[in-house]
Amino acid sequence: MQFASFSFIFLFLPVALAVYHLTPARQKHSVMLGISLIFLLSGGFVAAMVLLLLTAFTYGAGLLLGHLQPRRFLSGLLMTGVILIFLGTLLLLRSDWVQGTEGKFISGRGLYPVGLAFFALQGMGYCADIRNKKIMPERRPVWLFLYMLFFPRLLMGPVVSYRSAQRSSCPVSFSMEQIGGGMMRFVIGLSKNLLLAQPLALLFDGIVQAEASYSVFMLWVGLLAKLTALFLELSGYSDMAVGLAICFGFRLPESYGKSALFPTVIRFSETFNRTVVQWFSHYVGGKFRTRSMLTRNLAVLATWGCIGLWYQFRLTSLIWGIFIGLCICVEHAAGANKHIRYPVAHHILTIFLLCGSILLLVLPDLSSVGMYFRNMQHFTLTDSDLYLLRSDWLALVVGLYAASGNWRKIIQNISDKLWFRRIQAPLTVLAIIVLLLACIAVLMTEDTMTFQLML
Amino acid sequence: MKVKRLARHLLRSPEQQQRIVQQTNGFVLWILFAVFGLLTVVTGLFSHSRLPAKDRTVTASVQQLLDDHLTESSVWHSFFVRAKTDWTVSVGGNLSGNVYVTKSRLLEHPEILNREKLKETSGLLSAFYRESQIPMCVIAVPSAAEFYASELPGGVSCPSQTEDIEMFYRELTSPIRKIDVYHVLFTATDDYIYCRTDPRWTCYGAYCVYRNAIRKMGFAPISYDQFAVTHAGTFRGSLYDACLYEDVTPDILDIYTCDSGIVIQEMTAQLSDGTEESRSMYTASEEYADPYEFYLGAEYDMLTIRTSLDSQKKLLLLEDSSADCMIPFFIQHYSEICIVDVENASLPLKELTDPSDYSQILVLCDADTFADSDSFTDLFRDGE
Repeated sequence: MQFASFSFIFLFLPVALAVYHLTPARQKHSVMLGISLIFLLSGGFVAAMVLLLLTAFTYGAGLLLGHLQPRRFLSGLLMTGVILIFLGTLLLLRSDWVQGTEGKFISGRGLYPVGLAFFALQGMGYCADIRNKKIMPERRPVWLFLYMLFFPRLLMGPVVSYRSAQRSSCPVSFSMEQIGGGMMRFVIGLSKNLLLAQPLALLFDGIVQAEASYSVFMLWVGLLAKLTALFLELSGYSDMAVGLAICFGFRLPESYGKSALFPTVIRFSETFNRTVVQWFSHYVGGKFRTRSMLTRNLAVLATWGCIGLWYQFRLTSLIWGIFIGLCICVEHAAGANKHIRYPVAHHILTIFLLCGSILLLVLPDLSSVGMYFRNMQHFTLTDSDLYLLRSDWLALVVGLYAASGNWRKIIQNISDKLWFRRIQAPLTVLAIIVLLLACIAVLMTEDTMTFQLML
Repeated sequence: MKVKRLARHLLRSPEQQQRIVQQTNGFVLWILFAVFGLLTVVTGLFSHSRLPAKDRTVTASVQQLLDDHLTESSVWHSFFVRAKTDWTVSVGGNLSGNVYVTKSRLLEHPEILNREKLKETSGLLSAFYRESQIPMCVIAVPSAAEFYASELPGGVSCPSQTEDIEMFYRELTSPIRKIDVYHVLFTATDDYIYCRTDPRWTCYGAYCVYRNAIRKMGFAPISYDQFAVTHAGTFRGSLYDACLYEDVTPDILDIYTCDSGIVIQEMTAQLSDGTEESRSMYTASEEYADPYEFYLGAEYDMLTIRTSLDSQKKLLLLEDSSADCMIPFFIQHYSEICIVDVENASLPLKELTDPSDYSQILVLCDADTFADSDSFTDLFRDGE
């Protein structure tokens, strides 16, 4: 199932909230699992079965790892098996071979459960933590299934360790304030995704697929649009996940910073998809425990190489990850994270680096990346540029401003002003309703919402 | 009183203020979701539209099916679609969904044709020709954007289908005759050859192509003067439904009647459930969701037309819906026309009819239909 869908917002969510809050506290976890299973199954039976089988496998593997804890070799062997199963499933279902399958009874695209990449990290992390004696294996199937299949973070994370999930699951009594806060966050995330990320992504897709020629300026605007679209989509889904979890009385960690304007690549690595980066730093980078500068840099490169492959299992994504890792190493060596002398220049340089490298993440192969850069030949604006700017200027301006996070500062500054306090409640409600109606208009008119990255 | 109200706002901490905002939001959104949800369910339940069958695989998403149904049956559907189109146009855009909005017409954004699938289709048609050895003609109709791209604002990237169609024609075995539609229609772009609110061509557009096609099929075309043209009404097609843009003039349903004296004696449609029903050339369009079904009526597997012409010439026409308005011209030349709908035929061609009974075969579809080789694979399969 998708969050950005008519049936989820107006059927599933109100009914699920009512059922959950009417349930006595003791049964809330079972009911939440039931709700998550319905959410899962409505997205496609086969895809749901993939996740259910993997969850059952994680449960069994966790118990077995707990049993084999003293025997390092056997538990290591089992852990390798767990990693191979998760990575194998991820690679197989993401492969062009499966994705391109279009039969009468089966469609390759329908086999891939959205969010499998996040799901795999949680499963592997859970088993690794048991092997490393950080947690005890969960014997209650309901708890483990709920941890793995909790529907607000099923689509786009965030990745939560089992220990953190146990701490954050504290069902509370019904509170309209809590639901209001959660829904507000949900609508903001939905708007980021539908109203801004989708048109910006389409702008970039239009440039890539078009036969028309664009100027250097427009090609860079396209890259900036794609980077912004990715940030808005992923952070939008994170907002929706956090908002939904709040509605149900759970707390999820924040995965994204408040702004997509990063002064350094290090700052980007610390705030963009934070929970995933932390996972890889912990489980991959953490293996290189040393004080040597060279080994630390190797750890960064290995971590970011794996992150690149996690986004897409392609050579270009691996190169993207290593490129980001290299930027981080260089910035560390130059002390860029400590002293930012020229903030504007730093911001521009970082945007330039991130925009240039984002092509490696979103285009299928190196020849397409090369083609994009080779097209940077015209320095004067073409008709195609003007058309794109004329038709998409609003999405571009609003999207960039929203991603800058500047609006948060403005609201913060005026929040103690008397005139604002007077109108804050009606103004916020009005703004949320307008955003919701705009989202409904998009849902009514557009076809299926697609994800920019297959995660 | 005013002093008290001021003081109340001043006394609240930002946290308290935030709590009030969230509480108000909670109440309003709860009511909004519930009302919307309730109305959606009620209208969805009482809607006559069937669940769309876009995806019937085991991997299909139930939610996608439900969403399609709910959005289509929603009482606010038209309001939101119209509002979005108006908003797009007012902020300088002209693409609503997949439809370009211009002053004089709506244009579908042309699909980039899949060359591999086109090659597959040409292979299937060539194999069918080799097997049947019956004279065959192929007509691939390009999209309207091919002819009216100049009406779009400068800089719009509009992929051309011409090269792909030429490649498709080249791949066909040489004895198969290919009719070049592009050059025929390009000279008539000032005339009413394509619908303004539908992606398909008009009767006049079809006549222009008929004039050329029928020569290659060995007949002299009936001149335009011999047809009496009457207007049966107006309609707004599928492009209008997709964006609900009102400022474009509706299309006209034309009836072409020839004074040659040749009349239809029998017209029988075989439906997908195996039943047969009698049809007429023109049907009141109010009865159908697609106004273009004015020509030949609703979807069928096969339609057989017998005319009063005393000749041995029989035509097997493999077509999609765009060919429907061309039939009034063909009945002047054939004693029997068997029309098989490539997109909707549930049975293979061999089970529907025996191709060897016909003296000529014409394959007339949109370029998009030729690029969907699965339809042709299904049609030419050996049988259940």
